[in-house]
Amino acid sequence: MKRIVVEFDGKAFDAMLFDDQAPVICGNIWNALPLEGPVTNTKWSGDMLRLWVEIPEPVERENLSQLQNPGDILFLHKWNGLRFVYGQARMQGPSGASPTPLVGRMLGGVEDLAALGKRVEWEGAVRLRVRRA
Amino acid sequence: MRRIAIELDGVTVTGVLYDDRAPATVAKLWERLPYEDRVTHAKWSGDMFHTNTDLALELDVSQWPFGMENPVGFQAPGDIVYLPAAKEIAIAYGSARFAWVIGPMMVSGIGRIESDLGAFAKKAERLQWDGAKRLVLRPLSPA
Repeated sequence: MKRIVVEFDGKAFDAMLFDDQAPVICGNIWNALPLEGPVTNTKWSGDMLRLWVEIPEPVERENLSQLQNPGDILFLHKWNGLRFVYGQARMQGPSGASPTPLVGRMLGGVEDLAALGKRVEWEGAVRLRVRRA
Repeated sequence: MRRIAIELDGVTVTGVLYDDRAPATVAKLWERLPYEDRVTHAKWSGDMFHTNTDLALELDVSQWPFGMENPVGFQAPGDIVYLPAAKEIAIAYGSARFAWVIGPMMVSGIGRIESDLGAFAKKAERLQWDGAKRLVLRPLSPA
């Protein structure tokens, strides 16, 4: 599996892409790296940050997850960008839960990600960067 | 119905409180006005924001079904709701439904905004990007 690095607040955390389970989507993400943009909390999905970047969107909806866990990295068709789960969360909208491609996982730094989520809630969006390891 | 002014980050709208549907809750809230807090954007409920400092209204919730007056399961833009268990007020500014980690929750419908939501909704939407802002509720009409 391909290794990536997630950077925020001057810190860097290793993560991996599930290119074996979601090869087309992860290929698009890999080819788009480095990606950098603002992160905000999601409106419907709980403890989840959205990285506002554009990734070429494939037709394939690979490795769909129904439930998400802290550290999960998601790609959401139509809305694009990446999602980082840092606590109690489930990808959903006004019509309910939405099965979502699970494209990777943080290999550490979830507590830092949770602190970032709380800070973003109170102080506003901050920059986050994802690059190849 | 009692009327209030709702100021979010410098933008003020007017609203009404439901004396008829939630008389005890509205009366207790009225006693606390003017009320000021820093509000943050909802993370489970869509286009909605909520207060963060406990607003205990000292209600006997055991007397009502669902533990609250005027329980509602859906919110329209401009609806003002109160959740006794969390001691918080939430205001919908767009597509919203009060929810938490377990899913949608009943809340007490206590009022609604009656003036134009446009500028107010734009301020509310910015909470997601700019973080917490000041909310003030002020009484406009006599009790």
